[in-house]
Amino acid sequence: MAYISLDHVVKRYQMGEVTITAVNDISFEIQKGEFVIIVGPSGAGKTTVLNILGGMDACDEGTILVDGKEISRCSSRQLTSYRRYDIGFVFQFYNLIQNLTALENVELAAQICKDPLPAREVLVHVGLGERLNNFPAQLSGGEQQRVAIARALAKNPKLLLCDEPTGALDYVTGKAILKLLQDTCRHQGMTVVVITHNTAIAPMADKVIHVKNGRVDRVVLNQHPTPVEEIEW
Amino acid sequence: MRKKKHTPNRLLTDTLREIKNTRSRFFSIMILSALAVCFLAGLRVTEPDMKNSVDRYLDDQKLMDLRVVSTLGLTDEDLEAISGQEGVELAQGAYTIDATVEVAGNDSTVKVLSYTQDINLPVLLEGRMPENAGECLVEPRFLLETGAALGDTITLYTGTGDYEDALIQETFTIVGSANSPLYLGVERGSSTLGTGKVNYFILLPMDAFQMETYTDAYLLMEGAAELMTYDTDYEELIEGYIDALEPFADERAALRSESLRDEIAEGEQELADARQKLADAQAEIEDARRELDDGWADYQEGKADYDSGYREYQDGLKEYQDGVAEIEDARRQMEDGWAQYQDGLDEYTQGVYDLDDAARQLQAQQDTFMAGLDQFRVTLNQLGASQGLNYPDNDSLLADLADPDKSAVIDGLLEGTRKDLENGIALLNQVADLQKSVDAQTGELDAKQAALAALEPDSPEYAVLSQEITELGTALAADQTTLAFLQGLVQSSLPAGATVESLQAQKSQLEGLSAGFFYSSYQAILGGWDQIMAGQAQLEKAKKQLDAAYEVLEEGQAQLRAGEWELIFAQEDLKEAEAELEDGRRELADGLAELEDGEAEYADGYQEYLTEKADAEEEMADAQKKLEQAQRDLEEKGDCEWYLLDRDTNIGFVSYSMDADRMGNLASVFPLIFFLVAALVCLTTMTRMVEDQRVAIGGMKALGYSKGAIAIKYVGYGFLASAVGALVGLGIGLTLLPWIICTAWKIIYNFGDIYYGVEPLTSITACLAAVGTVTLAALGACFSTLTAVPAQLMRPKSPPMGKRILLERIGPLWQSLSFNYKITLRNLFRYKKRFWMTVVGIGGCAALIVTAFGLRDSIFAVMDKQYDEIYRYTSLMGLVDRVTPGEWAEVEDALEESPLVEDWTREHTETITAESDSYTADATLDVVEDGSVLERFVNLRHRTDSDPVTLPQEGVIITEKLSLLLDVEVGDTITLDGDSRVEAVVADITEHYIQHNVYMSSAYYEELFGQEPEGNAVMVRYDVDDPQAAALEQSLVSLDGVNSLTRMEDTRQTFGTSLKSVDYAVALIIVCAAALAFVVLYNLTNINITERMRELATLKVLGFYDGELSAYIYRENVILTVFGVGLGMFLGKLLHQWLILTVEIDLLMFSREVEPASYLWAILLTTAFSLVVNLAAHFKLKKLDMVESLKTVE
Repeated sequence: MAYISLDHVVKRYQMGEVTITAVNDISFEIQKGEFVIIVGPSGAGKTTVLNILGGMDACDEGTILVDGKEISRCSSRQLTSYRRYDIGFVFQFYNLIQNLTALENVELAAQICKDPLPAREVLVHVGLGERLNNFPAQLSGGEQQRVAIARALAKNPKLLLCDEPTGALDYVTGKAILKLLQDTCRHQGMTVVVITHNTAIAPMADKVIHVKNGRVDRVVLNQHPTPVEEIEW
Repeated sequence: MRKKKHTPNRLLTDTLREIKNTRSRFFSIMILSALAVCFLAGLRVTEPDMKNSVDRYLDDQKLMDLRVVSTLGLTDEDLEAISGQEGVELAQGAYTIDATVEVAGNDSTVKVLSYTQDINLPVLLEGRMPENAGECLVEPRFLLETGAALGDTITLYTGTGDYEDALIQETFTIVGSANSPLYLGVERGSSTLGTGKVNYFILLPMDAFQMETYTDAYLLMEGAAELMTYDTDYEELIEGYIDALEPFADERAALRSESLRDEIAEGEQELADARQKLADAQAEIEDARRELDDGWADYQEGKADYDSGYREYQDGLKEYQDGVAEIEDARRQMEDGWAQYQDGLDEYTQGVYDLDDAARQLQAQQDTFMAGLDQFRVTLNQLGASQGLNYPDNDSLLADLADPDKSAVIDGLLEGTRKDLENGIALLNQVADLQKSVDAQTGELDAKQAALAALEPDSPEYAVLSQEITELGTALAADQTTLAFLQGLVQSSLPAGATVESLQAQKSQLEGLSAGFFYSSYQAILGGWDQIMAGQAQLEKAKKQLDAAYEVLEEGQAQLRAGEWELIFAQEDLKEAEAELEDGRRELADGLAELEDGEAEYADGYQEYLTEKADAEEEMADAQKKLEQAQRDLEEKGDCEWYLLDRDTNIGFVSYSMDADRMGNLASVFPLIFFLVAALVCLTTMTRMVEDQRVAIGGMKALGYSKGAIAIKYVGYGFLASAVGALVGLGIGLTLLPWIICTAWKIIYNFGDIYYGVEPLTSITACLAAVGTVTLAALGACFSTLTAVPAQLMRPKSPPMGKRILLERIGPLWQSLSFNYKITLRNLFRYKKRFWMTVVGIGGCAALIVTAFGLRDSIFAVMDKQYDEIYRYTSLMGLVDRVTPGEWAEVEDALEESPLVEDWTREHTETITAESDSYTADATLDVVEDGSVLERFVNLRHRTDSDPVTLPQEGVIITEKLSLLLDVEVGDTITLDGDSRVEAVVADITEHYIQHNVYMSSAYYEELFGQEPEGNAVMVRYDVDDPQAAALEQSLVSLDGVNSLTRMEDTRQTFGTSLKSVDYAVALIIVCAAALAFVVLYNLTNINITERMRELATLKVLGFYDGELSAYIYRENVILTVFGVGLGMFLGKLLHQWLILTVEIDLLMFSREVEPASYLWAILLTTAFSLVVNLAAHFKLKKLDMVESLKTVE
């Protein structure tokens, strides 16, 4: 039994009179501790998959199982709990609370979890041990994203979901962030799902799911994922 | 180019869509603008509307511009002279007097005014206008409070002073109720009657007055109606007129004094002349009387003579008349005698004739009888011959008839004969019948024989027939034999030729004849003859009697004739005497007529004299009184003086102006605060909007749109929202607010329709201010944003730096706070602008609510404090003027004996004027024995610390408001103007709210005024709610010594009504403040959510439950509300303090305190709004899309 499985998931949006099928019969599985990249062009439905997987949206058909829990059947409140306890989210634009220091931002997430990791340690772990008490505005983009990752990790989630984590970052910083994510997966056994339109970074994943027009185009398993450092784009 | 023309302006599309998508923000701005303009313009326009409404009303009712009052009244000449003055449009004389009227046992003091249709027109509310001098109009309050109704009759007592005979009658019928423009408000002025306070006014037609001079002249001035009466233009115009009229008035007044003196002199002369005339007339009439009396004496003498002669004549006449009557009697008797005699004679003659007739008849009867008897005798002889009966003559027959035996024989004979005749008749009939039968049989036989002859003899028929013939022949033969026998019998027994008819005739001849018949007839004839003989004897006897009577009658006749002669002589004598008497009588009658004529003449003369005398005396008394009055007037009032009084001397007019000014004051700052709060929120909303759209603006700018073109969207948005709101608010503000407030004031002021003015300046300013604030805010925000380069704009605006707040420096405190609160506090203090805006917004609204409720508290606390806490007596009883000891004893007994009365004291009370250097005010002076007595009835205390105040023997205690008005403190001196002007030392100041009082002890009164206070009122305390209270009040009022009884409870209600009008304004403010508070809170929360959408969405993604998320916002809102409310309480208290002084009127002191309940209400309302708004936010957050968090930063 896979750790995460999506089985014939369909999601439609009603836009006025038009029904748009954003996700059309998608099925795939993710094993615990895998580093998965979902890749596809704009509008392929990868964000929808992320939303559904992240418990931000419900699917119309199909079943989603995460660690034996059927997410597709959850109520709105159960979904919130799911987000709260099982998901760590990394946004493209970091979405830090401007009014809180780096440490406080992490604490903000940590305080609502059952079994959080110590905030300070997590920040040290992501390399921000020196900037604990800085406000987001005082941090660079890469640093902010590290805080965001720390915030997600501090929750000690089952699944780390990252939405274009490097989208707003320059090449070097982006690489560093990806490295952080990969390391986290490798060293802590964290299941990481990254969503990106950048196919170039696909080799670093254990599993690459290509999405196209709302369907899974193909799933590529890398027996030997490439370390980030070796990837160029 | 062509293509461009057809493309709609996308900027416009964007703007319209913006409005559509942010409806709630758009409407918030609109409603805020509307509320701000409505409240500002509405309240500001109320004062001019109030004044204009009344100005129009007064113009319509032609309220006088000037009133001229003269100390000696005004004459028609005065009025004419006034009319002739420049600027005077109309001058009319009028009467104003005081009177008391009693309805249902309660005396009220009234002003009685004359009215006309030219000036000071009354406004009829009910019923009709008076049609004659006996009808009156009353004010509606009179009907309401006294319980009188239309059609009732009231009696006006005008007292014994100047107005004693001012009215043509005392009773008047109420035909209608009306308002008078002379009395706008509830104040009715003062009077010298009753308790000194005038309760009502009553309007009478001019001809109900009969005063020598007018008391007032009312003037309409040229060009005055065109001006607004409360404007300075009007004031200046009238002041100009007064200045111009002043010399003229002095001149007229002097003239009046002079003419009055002339009149007095003239009057005295006239009075003397009249007295002389009256004396002359009296002498004349006395002469006439004497003459007449002599004439009467003469007449009486002659009359006595005549009377005795007349009496003699009367006796003679009586005697003669008796004689005549006697003769008449005798004559009548004679005539009766003669008539009787004649009747007897006639009767006798008739008797003789009758007897002769009877004799003759009897003779004839006898003859007939005899003839019958002859015939009978012959018949008897014939019949009886066989028996030897033979009567040779009638006498023998008569002798036998008398004998019964013989007569039986005769009767038997007659009977036998009749039987024989009957038998004969039967026999003859039998023969005839048989003869007929024989004839018939013969005929038949003949016929049969003939038939036989025709038949063959051998034939059987022949044998039969012949047999029959044989039989028939045998029968016939038998019958014929019988017939022959019978015929033989006839021939033997009957005379020949006798037939049935002849026998029948004989039989009928014998019918009725018998012996008895003849005998009785004979006896009757004999009796007749006996009767005739007796009649003859009677007649002879009567004849003899008649002859004797004749003799007697002849003798009486002779006597009668002699008497008649005697009478004729007596009559002659009487006639002579009568003629003599007639002469005497005529003489007397003439004399009498003469005398009576004289008497009538005298009576007429005397009557004339009497009337003239009465008239003259009345006239003289009048003249005397007038003279005395004039003299007194001159002495007392000195030379005549005229006063020119303008409208500012009318209490109602002035107090209305003051109330309107007060509304104006209320409108000056109060709505401004309101407006500022609304404007502040609008401004923030617009600024936030522009800032939110930073990226879009950057994009537009990058596209190459000019600053102006970009700004127009936001400016247009703000302009549209605020302009529409402002116009709607203006519309409502200019109508609804004046309507509510004027309607409220109408409770205590009587005026006509409400005038809704526009007040262009205020309206335009309010609108411009509202629209300007919003539009300029938009413009300002736009331009500060637009100055940045597009690239900078396209990037997310670096959010304000997260900062450590002051609180964090206090380590232990900060550490002890939960994480959520740390965030909240940091959020709060990071956005200082938002913090202050929200706190000020909520605070402003809370302050408005506190103020509004506090205003209400202050106004209504007055009632409770004044009537429940300060006044300890429940009723004030007014005593009659100069109450006698007897009357007072009655009152005292009634009070002592009633089980209901708890306490009472007699006091002296009067209305005085209290003056200081700075101010003058009317106040009630209460004089009681000493402080301990006063304490039992009035709770004297300091307002601030409730320390009791005691009335000292020296010095006065004045009420707080009076001290404020006069600006005096303890130890200062004030002037009291009552019966005389005195200076009194203020010993203390006491808490008091309604009207002004000055309390002093009797001793101090005596010291100041030099006279003992007259106890003219009684303060009484009893349980007014007791069922017996009404009975007690009635019994007290009915006492002779008691003039009126005023229940504090009633006064309280009257005040309560007038305070109601303020309550409406307050309710209006509460509603507006509450509405503003709600909109402000809603808008602020809305902004708070909108601008933190992304942050909230992120939190949601992080797994915050709905409740936690809402709480994240609530915490901020709650803290803001708490701060805001706190500020509001403080601001409210300040605003209330200031406002209460502004709206207070002279007569009242409002409580300075705001009840805790009002703070509580303000807190509750604000909190409730906050909760409602938070609830709305909660739902909004629930719907918040998490995808928001994924979007790029705008």
